[in-house]
Amino acid sequence: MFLTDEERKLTIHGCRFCPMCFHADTVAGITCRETNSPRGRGLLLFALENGVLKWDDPAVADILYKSFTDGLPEEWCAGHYDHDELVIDARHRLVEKGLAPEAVGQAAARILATGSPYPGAVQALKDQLAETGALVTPGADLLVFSGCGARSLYPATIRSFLKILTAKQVPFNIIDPEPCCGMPLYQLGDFANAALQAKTVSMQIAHSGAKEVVLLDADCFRMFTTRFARFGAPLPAGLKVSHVSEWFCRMIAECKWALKKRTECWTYHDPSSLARFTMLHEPPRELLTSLFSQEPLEMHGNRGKAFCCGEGGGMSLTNPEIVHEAALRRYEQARNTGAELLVTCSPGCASLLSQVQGDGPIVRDLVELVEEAI
Amino acid sequence: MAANELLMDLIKNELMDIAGRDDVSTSEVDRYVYSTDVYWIPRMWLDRLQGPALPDFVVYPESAAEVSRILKVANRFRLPVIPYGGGTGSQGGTVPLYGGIILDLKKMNRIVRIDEKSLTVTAQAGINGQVLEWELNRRGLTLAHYPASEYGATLGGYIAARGSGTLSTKYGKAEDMVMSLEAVLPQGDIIRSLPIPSHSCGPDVRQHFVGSEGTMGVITEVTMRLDPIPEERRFRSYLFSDLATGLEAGRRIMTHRYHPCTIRLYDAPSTQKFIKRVLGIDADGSFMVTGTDGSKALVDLEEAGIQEICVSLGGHDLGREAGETWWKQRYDFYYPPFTPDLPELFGTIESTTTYDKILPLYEAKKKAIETGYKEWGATYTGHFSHWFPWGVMVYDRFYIKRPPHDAHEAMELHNMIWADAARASLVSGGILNDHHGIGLKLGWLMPEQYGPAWQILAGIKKMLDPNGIMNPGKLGFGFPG
Repeated sequence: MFLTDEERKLTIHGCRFCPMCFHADTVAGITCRETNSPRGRGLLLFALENGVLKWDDPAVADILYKSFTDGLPEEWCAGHYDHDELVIDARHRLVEKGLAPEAVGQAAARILATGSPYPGAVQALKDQLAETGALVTPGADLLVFSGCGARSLYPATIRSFLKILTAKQVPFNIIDPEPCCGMPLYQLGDFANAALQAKTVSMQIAHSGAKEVVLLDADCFRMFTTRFARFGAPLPAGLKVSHVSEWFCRMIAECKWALKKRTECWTYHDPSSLARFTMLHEPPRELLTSLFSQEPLEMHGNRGKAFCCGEGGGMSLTNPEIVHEAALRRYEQARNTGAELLVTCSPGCASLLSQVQGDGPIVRDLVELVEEAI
Repeated sequence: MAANELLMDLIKNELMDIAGRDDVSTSEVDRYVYSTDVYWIPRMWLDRLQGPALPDFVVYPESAAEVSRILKVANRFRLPVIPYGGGTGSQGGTVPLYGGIILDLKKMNRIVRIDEKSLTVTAQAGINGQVLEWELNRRGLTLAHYPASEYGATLGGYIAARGSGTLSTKYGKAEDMVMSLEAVLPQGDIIRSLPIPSHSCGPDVRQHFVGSEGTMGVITEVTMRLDPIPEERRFRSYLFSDLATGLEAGRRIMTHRYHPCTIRLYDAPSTQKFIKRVLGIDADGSFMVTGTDGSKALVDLEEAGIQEICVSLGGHDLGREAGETWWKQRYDFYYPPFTPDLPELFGTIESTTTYDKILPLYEAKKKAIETGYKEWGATYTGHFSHWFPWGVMVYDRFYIKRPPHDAHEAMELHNMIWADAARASLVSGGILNDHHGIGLKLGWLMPEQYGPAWQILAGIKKMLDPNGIMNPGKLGFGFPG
């Protein structure tokens, strides 16, 4: 769907014998297996295309769902082959053939039932509203879309954002209940349900009459800005779509918000969806630089070359042990900077990195820091 | 290997007992993926849907002790063992010709010690080259080994294939950087070479494993010399009217005993083909990049001396920009679609010789390719990228745009060209290979190259590996015993 037949063919041809991005594939680095590298996947897909290997071999699904699809191999690739889109395309073929892992179907079922792919309780936005005392303004120009990551894994981002809106008396609206935007389903290759979710969200935004939607989750921002239209779910004409970091930058500049400076040493983890798919490297840094008295201590692997913390590719639903190891590695890179705070800009990343937080930097989401600075 | 299912299951269980259940694979997908490296023949073989040479097992050991136990099992069952690092080799060194065990060493990826006083690093052999370099760079250090395969290759692979990097002219080849190593002998003994490379204690055991391509044992840990990241590294480029003048410039730079970190001289066809395509520079003649690094004072001095030599020979000084661009994009040449790829038939037939013989060697190979295979439209390009105090390496390639589609015919043509090119090197005073290794590709020419001296290598191999289990069919050694 996202690669033409020709692009798909060229990407398989480019990847199948090329070992040049092994170092950029986090899963290959963790599992130490060629089969989990871009070359291994390229060769596998070549063999499947030509009937040398069979799609129904359980190893095929196992390999294709072991990838963060985080765009980092392509970032290093001088030929710019879109390896990760190739993997997502292959996952889609597995879904169509009924050969995807059970976890994929379970995630889809949970999304349809609860609005989130993650197991366990999902806190509804209205509960967060009650907790913070924030009031929704029906028909407001601004619509807040929090995303499943914030609702299920790291609600502190929502609470902080609602408190900021209340403190600054910014009228806002929400979609209640808020559906999943479809990003996890797209990454897992369930395009039909991803399209359904995208269309639902798009329709509800149109119905709300909002002029701007602000997204708290980097993955939702990627889905809205790069995938909605291609899933047949165009957003209302004229709607402004802002990631929360961009929105803050604008509000601070336009409304002259006064911010208290912090003195800690800090580093910043670029979520893959911002680092490579929407190229949003600088707004979070500009915002954070205005919150701190010190410049950032950049991590090994930053901006376009940032390593995935483990949140990408729906891997937390299919391969949690690899996700845990990826988070540990990313946290270690943050620790190596000597920073006291590890700031990120997406609730999913904040949640994962918090889970592996050790005696190094304290993990915070950018929205929490803005709340504390106001 | 022809074996019954019962026997294969028994062997698998023994391997699992050693490496763990999850670290032994017999899956069809794993076996297929490990059937090739970057060598043209196995790639073409897969591309044309021929049945590949498959391993029976892929095993991922985590320690020298596990490797030792695996080799004992392999000896008992007379099972070939193919050590596998990054699979970035271009000579077919990891192709499991006779099946057996692919021993993927990438789980042995620990840095054991960094000695910042002596400037050495000790690491397990399976560590990825770029990951190691990143760790060193954090401490202001560098291995200074920058092969095009750096992103995929492993430390053990660097050593096992006598690899070379883009700054080898100053820092040496990987083999020059090895202080000491640990290896597992084919029958399972774990040995260490002397702790330092410079001594008067007889022939150097270390050298039996450097360049051994997995035929003498398994390299499991290596101590390497390091360098501090230089204060300054600067590149400059020149355009010469012809190759001979460029070669003379390089010779003068080296024999004046300057220490450039790189000299990279492209012949006219490469200047046209690659420099234009990758760097966007459209020029006739021979393009040369030079690099100097160290303290600013040293770089100023060396850059001026090199510039004087190049300009005095009529070299047009292109300034720093093109050279800096080359450095930043030095690996881009090796990514598809910039690197040669199927269905084209191609091969890198590099060789090294002394300054007095290098131009005739280049011309002999060019003639062997372009005249000998004229009916196939064969073309030939070369660049000169690893310079020594006494000579230089030519990194030359042949290309045939439309080779036979039939896999057997394509392989026959490929091997005929290789034989002619290799013999042209040997007759001209060169060697079979400078830094890609021998592998499956050139093994059959090793006895011819060495002559009576071959018995020394063959004798050592026989003594160390009486059952011939270690990477059979490579480096000129025979078949499983």
